[in-house]
Amino acid sequence: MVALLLGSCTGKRVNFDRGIIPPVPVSFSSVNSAFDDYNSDLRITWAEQTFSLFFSSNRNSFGDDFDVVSYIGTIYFDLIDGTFTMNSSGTGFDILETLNSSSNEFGPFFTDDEESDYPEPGDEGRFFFSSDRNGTLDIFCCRYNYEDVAYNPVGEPFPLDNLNTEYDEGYLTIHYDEVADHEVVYFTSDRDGTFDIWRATGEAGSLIDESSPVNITSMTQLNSSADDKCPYIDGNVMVFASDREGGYGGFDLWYSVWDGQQWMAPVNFGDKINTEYDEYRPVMVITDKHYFLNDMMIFSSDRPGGKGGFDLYYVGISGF
Amino acid sequence: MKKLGFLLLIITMSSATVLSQKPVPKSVFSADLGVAVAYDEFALNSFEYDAGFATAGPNAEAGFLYYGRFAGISLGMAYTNIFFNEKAYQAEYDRVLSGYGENTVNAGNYHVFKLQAGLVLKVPEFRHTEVMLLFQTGYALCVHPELTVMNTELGEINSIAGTPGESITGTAGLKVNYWLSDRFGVTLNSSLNAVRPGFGDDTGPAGAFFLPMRYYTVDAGLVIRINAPAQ
Repeated sequence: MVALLLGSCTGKRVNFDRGIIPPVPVSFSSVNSAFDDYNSDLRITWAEQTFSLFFSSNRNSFGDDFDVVSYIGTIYFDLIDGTFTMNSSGTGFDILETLNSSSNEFGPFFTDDEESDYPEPGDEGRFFFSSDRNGTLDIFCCRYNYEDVAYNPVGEPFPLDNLNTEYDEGYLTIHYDEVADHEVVYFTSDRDGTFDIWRATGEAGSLIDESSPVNITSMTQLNSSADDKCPYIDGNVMVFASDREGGYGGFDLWYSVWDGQQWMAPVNFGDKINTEYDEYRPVMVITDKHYFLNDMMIFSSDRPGGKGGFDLYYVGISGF
Repeated sequence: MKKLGFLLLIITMSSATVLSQKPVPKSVFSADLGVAVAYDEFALNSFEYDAGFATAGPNAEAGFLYYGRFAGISLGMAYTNIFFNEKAYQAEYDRVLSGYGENTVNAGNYHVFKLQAGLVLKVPEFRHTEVMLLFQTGYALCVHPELTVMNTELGEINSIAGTPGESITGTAGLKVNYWLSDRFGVTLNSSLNAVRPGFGDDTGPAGAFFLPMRYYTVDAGLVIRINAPAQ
């Protein structure tokens, strides 16, 4: 009791037990530019409240070709006043010099194949992206090592010939644990005329980039007669962009939930996220519920109010 | 413990001073009812550090005063119940969440129960009226409102159990007695009160917090002289 009376505790009363990512889209102004910024991938280390962000931008060429750029930064939620901030504190990783070319690089997606909660020195992973350096968009992979808060390339990027065709392919994402001992990936391709979402299953015991020609199927329960692009999966939720009917204009963001057997019918994210403008390339990060109540989605949009062209926005999502 | 010992020493010395005064000191029982109103951070209605979202509520006090012409001592107890501003608290969640889902706030009241002792400084009685300043300190048992905030989309956003917290108290007050007879009178009190209890918060990140609670009271009541001179 004496300790309590004399004030050994300096805690303040908080108004939030956990953080809440703003449920309305917020421009990621600390990384956006007057050029097009889109197609991101994001890794968040919740315990340290830091993030690594990769996305495509044509800022380096002043509006010409797209390169992958990167930022690191911090995430902070004030449990008293409810403000959420994502601030960049640095930029650039060595791996970008290996990835980028004079052509376009889109749709970064990087894995932590060690499956650790936060990147540790020596972690190995794969950095997938798409590039039109060979004429049409193809999916490439570059292996990396994580060392000293840096993603260091191991070897040169190589195309995934078991997925690529003479048409456009891109935006590879992995659905972990869908099939035991097989790596299952989803990606976009217009090999059937319009852009659709396709599924590929690797060989038993092999990563998708090490597999021989793989089983590829169109995701008819997800696709429409319009363009369906940019699938991204975290946990058992897939988010993607589509300009199908039932939206709010242009490309909208949709999601589908894996029920353990199949993907459920796509659901529009609604008018709090979608607008009459284009919303594109959503990336979802399931949060650590010890720190946040809702999950995070980053997407790009050319809606008014940004810095110009497509800008990145983040928004809190929930209810899956 | 040193602080408590020092306070007791001051009270004892004051008592000795009072006892040496002439004429015979008064022994007075006082009881009054009134209202308590939060101020300072305790009354803030926005998400800021130490904002209490406290409004006002009933206050009841009873005490014993023993004083001479210029000084004396006092012992007292008080119970205060201050309402929590649910509407303002919900408005802050509505603002932060920008209309995402519907927020519901359920909150009880703040409770403060105090046991205090202290000094009385006064001017000599004139026209049956006594004006005195009271400075008291002691122990307070406080209870934080049981608080739950729900959002239809996010679930439970915040909760604090209605757990008790303890604190040292500090009170400074002005008391005016008007004696209707040698034994009975009426009294008007106003005081500034400060406590800073520590409360538990099992669902919060720190598990506990201190909340400065400052409020003033305005009370009216009766005073009864216990050692009234024989008629």
